[in-house]
Amino acid sequence: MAEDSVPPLIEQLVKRYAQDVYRYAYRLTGSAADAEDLTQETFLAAVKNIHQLANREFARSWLFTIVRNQFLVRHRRGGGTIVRPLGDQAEEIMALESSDDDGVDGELIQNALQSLSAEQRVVLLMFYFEQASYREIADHLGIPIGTVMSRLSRAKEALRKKVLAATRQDNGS
Amino acid sequence: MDWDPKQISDRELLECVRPRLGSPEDPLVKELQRRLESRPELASLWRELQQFDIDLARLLHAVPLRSGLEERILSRLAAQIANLSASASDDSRTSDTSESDVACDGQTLYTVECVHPKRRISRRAWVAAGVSAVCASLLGGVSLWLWQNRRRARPPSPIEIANEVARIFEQTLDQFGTGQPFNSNPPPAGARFSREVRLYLGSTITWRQVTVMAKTAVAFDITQPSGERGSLFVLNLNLPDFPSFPPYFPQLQTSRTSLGWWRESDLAYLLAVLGGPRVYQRFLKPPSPIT
Repeated sequence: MAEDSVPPLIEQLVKRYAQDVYRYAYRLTGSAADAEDLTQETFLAAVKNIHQLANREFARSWLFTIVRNQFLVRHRRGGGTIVRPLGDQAEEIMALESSDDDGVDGELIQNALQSLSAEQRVVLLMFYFEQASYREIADHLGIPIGTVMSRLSRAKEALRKKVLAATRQDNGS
Repeated sequence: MDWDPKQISDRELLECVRPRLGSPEDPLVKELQRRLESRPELASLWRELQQFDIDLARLLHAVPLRSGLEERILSRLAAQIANLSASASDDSRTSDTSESDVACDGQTLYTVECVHPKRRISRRAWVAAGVSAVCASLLGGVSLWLWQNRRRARPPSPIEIANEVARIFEQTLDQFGTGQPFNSNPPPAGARFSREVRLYLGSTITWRQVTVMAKTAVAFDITQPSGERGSLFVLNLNLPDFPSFPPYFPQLQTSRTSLGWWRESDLAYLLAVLGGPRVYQRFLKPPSPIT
């Protein structure tokens, strides 16, 4: 039995946080298949580094840190999108629920996110998903506060423009 | 801080500083408060941006989930962990072999055993291997049986419940609005109406009992003054996988119905409306500000 060989703490983390991690990964990568791979990588990294999790209260933010770092590492290696054999993809397509079609608005927000640079996207998602303050973002990413503020305000402005433009278009049609 | 907060532009300050996240002593929080107090036009813009923040946060969290995600992750993790253990033991075996080779190379006389001998397998070893194989198969069978039972016993996933509710909603449309009037005949205790659902002057609500996932539930049928119709299903189930607030966009859509789900304390709510996301959104109260 597969699940039985996973350490109980990791199993608990998966059951409790897999969906949150997947949501974050989805917004970072923009694709369901990549998001699931990134979620998988995140939990594998969690298995290897579980000793770092001193306090389980911080498990969610710890996992978010891992998923963000995994994404940035992948992005820096130039592997924004994972190429997988068709067999895997076909299996995943079969596993998709009808709810995977998240409609025009979901598509709109994801397209708007994808138009940002990876660095802007990370800062923006830290702000919204991790509820991190500008100072925390700067500390975690090791960048100056001024850089955080300029990336964040530009990203929010770009996103707002796209959402408002699409809403106007939607209302007009 | 090696720079002056007064040098930060209004836009960056309004976009990036959230007083509730920073300490009140934070120089940028102080600077933001100073500017908001002294310039009413900024305060108004600030409120608009806060509202946008709330809407955007909801949009970003409304990610369609894939069914069986946790199960797939766990089973792949198990395989990956097994691979890691196998490669670790392979490594140790390899290092044992090389040590043995080195040891052999260091001897003057090479014995037969030392030069990678072909092992002869004794009858006892064969019996032991056979018994191990039988035990392993038995153990595997028992594990599989336990696993299947556990899968059967697991609580239904949100998407399973939502699919069932969508089916009930669409199949019982002829009974829509035929239940007890909510104002004069309250529903059974425990079936609370959600505080997140938006009602207008002239909205009518009736309730009826339905069966969802083999459990009794209450469906509040809501007809808005515009004629838009939706049912709020209340399940007395503690479902931790449900979000704690209604999603801004429906998580499930069929050709006729949009459906979203959330939980409030120990009750699970599923809102099914006839129509698309816009109709669904009109059934929800606007979000309250973050700060």
